[in-house]
This record gives sequence, C-alpha cells and structure tokens, in this order.
Amino acid sequence: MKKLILFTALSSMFFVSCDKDVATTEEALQDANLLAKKSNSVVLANHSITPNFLKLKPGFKNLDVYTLLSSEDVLEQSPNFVYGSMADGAGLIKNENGTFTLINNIEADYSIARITLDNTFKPVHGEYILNAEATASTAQCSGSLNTPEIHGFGPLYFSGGEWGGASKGVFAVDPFKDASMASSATMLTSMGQWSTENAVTMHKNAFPGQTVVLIGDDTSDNAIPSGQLAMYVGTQGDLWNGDLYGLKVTSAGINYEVDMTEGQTYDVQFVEYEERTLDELEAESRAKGIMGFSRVEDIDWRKGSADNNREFFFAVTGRKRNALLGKGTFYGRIYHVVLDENNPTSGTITCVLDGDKLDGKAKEFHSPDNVVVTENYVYIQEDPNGYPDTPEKNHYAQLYEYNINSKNLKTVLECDQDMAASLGYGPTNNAWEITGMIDISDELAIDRTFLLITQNHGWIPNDGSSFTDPTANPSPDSNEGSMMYVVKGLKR
Amino acid sequence: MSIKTIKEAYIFIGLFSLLLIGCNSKDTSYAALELPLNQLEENYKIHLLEAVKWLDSIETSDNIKDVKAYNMKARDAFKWAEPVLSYVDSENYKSLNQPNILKIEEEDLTDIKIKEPYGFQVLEESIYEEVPNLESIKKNARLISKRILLISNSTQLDYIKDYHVIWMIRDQVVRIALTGITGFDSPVLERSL
Repeated sequence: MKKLILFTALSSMFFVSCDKDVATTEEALQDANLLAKKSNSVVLANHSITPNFLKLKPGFKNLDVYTLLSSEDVLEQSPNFVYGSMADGAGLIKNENGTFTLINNIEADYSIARITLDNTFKPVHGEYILNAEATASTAQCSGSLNTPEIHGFGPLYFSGGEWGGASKGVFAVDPFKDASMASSATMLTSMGQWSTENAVTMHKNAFPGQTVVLIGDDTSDNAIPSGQLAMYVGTQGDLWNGDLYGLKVTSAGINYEVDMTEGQTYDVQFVEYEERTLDELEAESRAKGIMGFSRVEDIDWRKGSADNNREFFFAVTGRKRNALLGKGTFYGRIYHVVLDENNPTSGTITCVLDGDKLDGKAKEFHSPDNVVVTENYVYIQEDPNGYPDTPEKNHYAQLYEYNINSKNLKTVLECDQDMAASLGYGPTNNAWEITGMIDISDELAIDRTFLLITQNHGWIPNDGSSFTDPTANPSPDSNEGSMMYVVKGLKR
Repeated sequence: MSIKTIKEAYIFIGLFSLLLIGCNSKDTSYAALELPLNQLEENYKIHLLEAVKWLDSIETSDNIKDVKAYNMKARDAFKWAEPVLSYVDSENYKSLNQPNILKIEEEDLTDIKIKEPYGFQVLEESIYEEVPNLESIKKNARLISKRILLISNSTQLDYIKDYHVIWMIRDQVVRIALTGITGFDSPVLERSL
C-alpha cells in the first residue's frame, strides 16, 4: 500500500513538474518521500543504551546516525537475548503487519540471529535460528537475503561459513524457521567448499531464467594468493544442480592480481570447475589459471537497470607477507566486474581502487572488507589487518564512499575508539571492524537509509563475562560485543 | 589379524568393487551408471548416522563402562565412513580426528584464534582418564554428533567421478598403513589397527 502511495505521489510529482517545468526529479523524489513519510510509522531514533562511536568526516557532517542495538541492550520481549560477538552479514524483511525481521550473522558465536523490530523500527525481540551446534562451530561471516521479487526465489538467507569449525561453504537458512530448530542446518554443496565470506545472488533481471550466485573465497595463504571468486549458475531457483565456475583473467600477461593496474580493464572468463571439495578446488584453480586473490571478501552487484545488475564489485582485503610481494595486494583492493549481456561467464574486470598505490586515491585503505553497492555508489567498510605502514593508513576502521560514475573516493566516517576507550568500551590497540552494511531505504520507505554494524573488538562486559548468548553458543570462544546503527543521508 | 583390520580390508574391497562396477558399466544405461554412486552415498550416510546414534548414547549414559562401549562403536562407524569423509569433507574429517592439542589459526596480526581441540581422539583420552569427567565427555560427544549430523545432511556426491573413488582408495590404503601401524589416531587404546 505504501509503495502504491509512493508511486502515486511520484506520478503526481512528475505531472506537476511537466506542467510547471520547474521541479527537478530530485525535488519530486524528496516531495514523494515527504508524503510517504507522513504515512510511514517508522521513526528513526536511538534505541541503544550504548553511545554512538561513529565519527563523521568533513563533507558528511549532515548524516544522521542512530544507535539501534548493542550487546549490552535488553530487548523488552526477549530479555535474555544477547546480541552476540562479532555481528556481521545481515538481511532485512518488511513483514505484512508492518514489523520488520532482521536476519544477522553473529560470526564469532558461529550462529545466526533473528531480530524483530516493531513498526517504528525499534528492536523488540531477538532469538537464534542457527546455533553453534548447527554450524559445527563454523563462523558465519557475511550474508545475503534472497527474495522472490529480486532474486526469483526465497525468501532464503545465504551465509558464508568461513573459519573455525571447518564446515566451509554456503549455508542456506529459511529466515522464518522455527527457533526450536536452531540446531539444524543446510549447506549448498553444489556451490563448493571455500573459506566462504559470502554468497550473493545476482538480480533475476541480470540473466533471465538463470540463478547466478557469486561466492567469495577468503582463503589466507602466505605464499600464493589463493582466494577465488567463484560463480554458481543454475536455472532460476535451482540451487542444487547448476554448474560452478571460477574467475580467470584471460588478458595476456596477467598471472597474479597485482599484475592488474588500477583503472585498466582486462578480459575475464569464468572457467568451469569439475571439483567441489576445498583442496581440490584450489588445485584445480591453479591448474586452470583461475585467479587467486589475497582473500576475497564481500561482493555486491549494482542496482538499477538490467545492465547495471550485470555489474558487481568485490573487495580483496589483502595480506602482507614477503612471499606475497608482486603477487597479492597488501592493503586491499576493490574490483569492478562487468558481465556480458547474454553470458554470465564472460566479461571484464577493473581494479578501481588499489590500496597499495601509496600516493593513489585509495592510499588510506587498510584492509577493505565489506561492500554495499547502490545504483551510483559503493560503500566500502574496513577491517584493519594491523599494519598501518603510512600516516594515511594509521586510523581506526573507516567507511568510504566510491562514486561509480565520477570514480571519486571519499571517507565517510571512522570508528571513534578514543572516545569509546575513555568511556570504558574496549581498548584503543585492537581496531574494530565496520561490517554488515545494507541499504534499507526500500524496506523503511525512507530514502538514503542504511544499516551498519561494528565489531567492537576488545569490548567485553564490565564483569569480565561474555557477550555471547548461551542459546547461540554455550561455550563462547569470543566475549566481545557488537553494535548496530542506522545511518541516514548517504547517497544511493 | 584383528577385527578392525578385517573391517578395514572390507572397506577396501567394498570400495574397489564399487569402482569396478562403475568402470564396467560404461556401456549400460544412465540409470545403471548412477547406481554405484547412489550406493556409495547411501552406505556413507548409514555409517555417519550409526556414529551419531552411538555418540548420542554416550550423552544419555551415566555409566563409564557403557560410555567406553558406545565410544568404540561410534568410532568404528566413523572409521567405516572415513574413506569417503576424508575426501569429500577433508576439513571436517581433520577436525573430527584431530589430536588433543590446541589449534591456532592466524588470519592476520589482529586476528589470531586459539581453538580448543575436540573429536574422537579427545573423547578417547577423556574417557580413559583415571577420574573421567562425564560432563566433559558428554559435551564432547554431543559436539562430535552434531558435527557428523551436519555432514550427513550436507552430503551430495553426484559430482564424484571414477578417479575420485580411486583417490579415496589410494588415500585409505596409505592411511591404514601409516596411522594403523603407529596407532596414531587412537592415543590411549592404540586401536588404529
């Protein structure tokens, strides 16, 4: 209904602007948003008892930042729920009754939480729908939500099983599963075994009739970059019987990722894999010349037209070892892949941001990790790996805005760990991670609204116990807290 | 020759037979070609679930004598599944059969993880301690059981080709020869062979 109102409002604005020939599209959008806001029950507000630890950078002081939930909060309908350790990937669903369901990976508790928010977008209930038993204590890193409207199947939440318990692959979870079944999990073996950071399904309009899933392999290797960018292709909605491919750069002279220079475009083919198991996929990748990156992290595709939907960006976080010099990135890179219109296994790749260029536009990069891509921007989230070798890289985790059209890069905000430490929220010598950012503008019917998470490394309860919910993991391996924010005002 | 050795010999013969059936059926129908693989998957899952059953029995037992018996049965079932498990899910196999020492994973300078060991070797050592801690034994058995259940639920062997089966047989022969002789993965009972 709200979408209908918004559409009607937009249409009205369009006609008004044609008649009067004065209002720009942007003004019409703003007016439509105002109209939608009047009928929107969502009220963005601070809901956490934890202070805001995000410091806005010049040029972004107009952003509104709201604290939504932290590990020390108590939710009114589930007082025993603990928002656990190292929250990560997330997906948001607007329910028919006006409430919201947030699925959120809790990485270091090896689990997935379901948080219910009321129709004002206030968190009121939390529970775990996948626990450490179900994941065999495998960390659930980034995640992505599939819906029939966008992906052609679902709702189904994908989660990357990466480290810890050795069940390395793509987990698939019904977002509405009964919490009493939290001990049971399903893995999509057809998508192969990887140190999986994330699995992201492209828009159903990108390749009609096909389901194309991109998988990031976060494998760390001290001698040869060994993280692949894999692709699963099946008929639409078929997650079991499709084929598996790996990205190979076919342009001459490109053997390692750092052979690609920032701003240059190269040809790629996705080469089919025969294997599905961890070591054999790595061996097959090397035998077939499939590119090994220094830890592929998050992936997201460009919103908007079908042409846009065939483009995706991914982050390579980097690894610093002498043996990797000249092979893999140290400080991290962002790649842009454009797939051919009729063939998902062919396209081009461009390194658009190279953190190893110490005088380049990404000179501040210190381990980019997660990405969220809108129609015109890429938002890049950092997880510093601990080697701030230049003054520009010597900072806490930052969020960057990359303009796809102008190719400009700006720093949006930084974790304010100095302030946090002064208030007793962890030390300053253990950098936090910014992660889990998703665009929630459509679900909330409020433009330019994003959800963002921080992993507050080193912040533990004052009594020395753990920010881990026993129903997620009765034997915590990590005690640190997490925090979730809403950031309003970032361009899309 | 112990019962264990006979069983491992049967695994070898069984897998080899499956391989021969697979190789000999090249000219037969597609359905016939599918059969050995289905059998392999079915047998594999039967052994996994057998292990789960005995591990769950440990969890409900308060008698250390019974716990010892259930552990042996669970480990036997695990060993029957070993040739396939160690290939199709090598990381989980290594976890389930890891030695009783701390595991350290270094992702980067700011991310070093220290993991407590668990699995069949840890279970065996804890069961045969002078004063066994039943609580700890049950916790470990439950962890192993849930891990094997996840593996069983996530098994799909339709990508397996003839050469994969040859690799499984090769690796299992080597495994029996090496860990069997040394008692490597049975630290107290030395019941590897």
